[in-house]
Amino acid sequence: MADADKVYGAEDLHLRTLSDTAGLMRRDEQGRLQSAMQRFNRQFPQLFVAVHTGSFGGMANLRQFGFWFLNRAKFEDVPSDRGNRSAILLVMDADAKSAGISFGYALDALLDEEDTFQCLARAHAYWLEGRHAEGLVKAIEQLRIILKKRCRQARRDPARFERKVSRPAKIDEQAQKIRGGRRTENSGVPGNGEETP
Amino acid sequence: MKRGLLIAYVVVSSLRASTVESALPAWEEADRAAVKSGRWIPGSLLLTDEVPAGEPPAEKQEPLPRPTAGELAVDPTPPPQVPEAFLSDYFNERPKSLLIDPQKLLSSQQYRDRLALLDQHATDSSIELIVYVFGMDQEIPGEVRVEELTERLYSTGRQAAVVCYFLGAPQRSVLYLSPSLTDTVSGLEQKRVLQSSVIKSMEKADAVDQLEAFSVQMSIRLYWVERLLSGAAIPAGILSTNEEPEAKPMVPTASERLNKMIPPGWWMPGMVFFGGIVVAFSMNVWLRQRVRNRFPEVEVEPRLGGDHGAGIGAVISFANASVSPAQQRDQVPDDLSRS
Repeated sequence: MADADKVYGAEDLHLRTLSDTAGLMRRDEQGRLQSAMQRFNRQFPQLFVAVHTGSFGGMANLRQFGFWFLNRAKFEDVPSDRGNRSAILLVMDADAKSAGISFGYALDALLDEEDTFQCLARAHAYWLEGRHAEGLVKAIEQLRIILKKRCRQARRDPARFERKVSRPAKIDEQAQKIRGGRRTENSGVPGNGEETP
Repeated sequence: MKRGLLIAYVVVSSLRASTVESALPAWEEADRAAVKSGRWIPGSLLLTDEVPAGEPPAEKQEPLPRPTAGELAVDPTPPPQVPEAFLSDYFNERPKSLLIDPQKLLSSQQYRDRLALLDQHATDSSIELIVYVFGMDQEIPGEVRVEELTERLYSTGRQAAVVCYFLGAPQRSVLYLSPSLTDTVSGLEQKRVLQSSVIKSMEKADAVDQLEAFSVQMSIRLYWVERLLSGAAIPAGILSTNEEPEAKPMVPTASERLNKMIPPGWWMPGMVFFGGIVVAFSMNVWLRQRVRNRFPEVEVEPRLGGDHGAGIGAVISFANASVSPAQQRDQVPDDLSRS
């Protein structure tokens, strides 16, 4: 994040969930995209989707920018109970003609790269023809389908999703051992499993 | 010698010419003086309306007299009635002939030809066609009620169709049926029969030809009436008059077709069933729109210094149409993906 702040700035951004700074969409297209985004937000009350277009210097920088934007943006039209942890950000680079998806921690258990790639692939044909708004609508539609399936899976097996984001047990045990050993050194009391020389 | 003869010839010729010239008119001195003085212009007579001397004056034509009021008024005299001398021949008893023309409005040959047609019809049909011929402008006297006459003279014997035909005015013709037929043939059908015959007769210009056409069509129509009375199926359009436009076949409407498909007793259950399906579908759509998908909330430790998220998803390029999405599938560096 520090590296990204050096490139894009360390101040927060205040903007709306739909920001077409590159001017890729007409007003009526923005309206249709806005409707699709609101429909998504209604169906997934815990999440929200944001779209940002601009010029970010290519595909490699697009990932970095998406990560930076997700953590620095303050969306004015999002309820306060939904932080950026619940955000799904679609970023489109007008100059490099590339698009990417970034998502908050709340979606770590729900989405993976393959899912996001499917969403972008769904919209690829429309973006090739310059129909940016339609492509974004299709991407959001695909995202909705994937998340509905995830929701059904989570209802059936919520533990599975918890395991996806929880730390591995071995690491926890090792951390406890390390912490325990440090406390023994400081207090001079032999710790668990350790013998004093 | 020759010269002398020539001179003599010339002299004689000149003398003859002068003699001929003296017959031509010559100016009189008074006229010559008048022309010279300008008081008289030769040929001026042709330029004036004056009647030259010696010519009789032209007769002045008087304007035509205007029509009088009496001539303009419609003749109030009633049309001529059938002479009383012929009433007994017309209406006293049932005629022995099928064509009654005591006034001799038809010539003998015309009478025989028309009568032959009626006789031919009588041999083929059980309904006689009897035609009373009257003048074009004649009126049947009021004291003669032809309806009563028909009942009186034609209640017995063969069934008859009695026509009072006005020669030259077929549209004034009237048809009466014998009492046995009146009860079975409707007034509408009688009207149609008469109208059809009148229409056929109007196609002819000559009065006698009109009577023939009228008789032929009447014979045909009576044939179909006879078939109708016998209970045989009459093809559609036969009994209608030519003037009436053929009724277009009624195309059943959608509601009529639906009524035929669904028995009356099934309407209410069908409506309820269909309404239930519509309500169920609407409810399904409404519930789907109201569905809210919720996920289990899990705690995730921040990564890479990001307070809200570090989930780097896929990136795709759409700059080149030749590079498909499948070729861009594996582009996410491992160091940016969560382990």
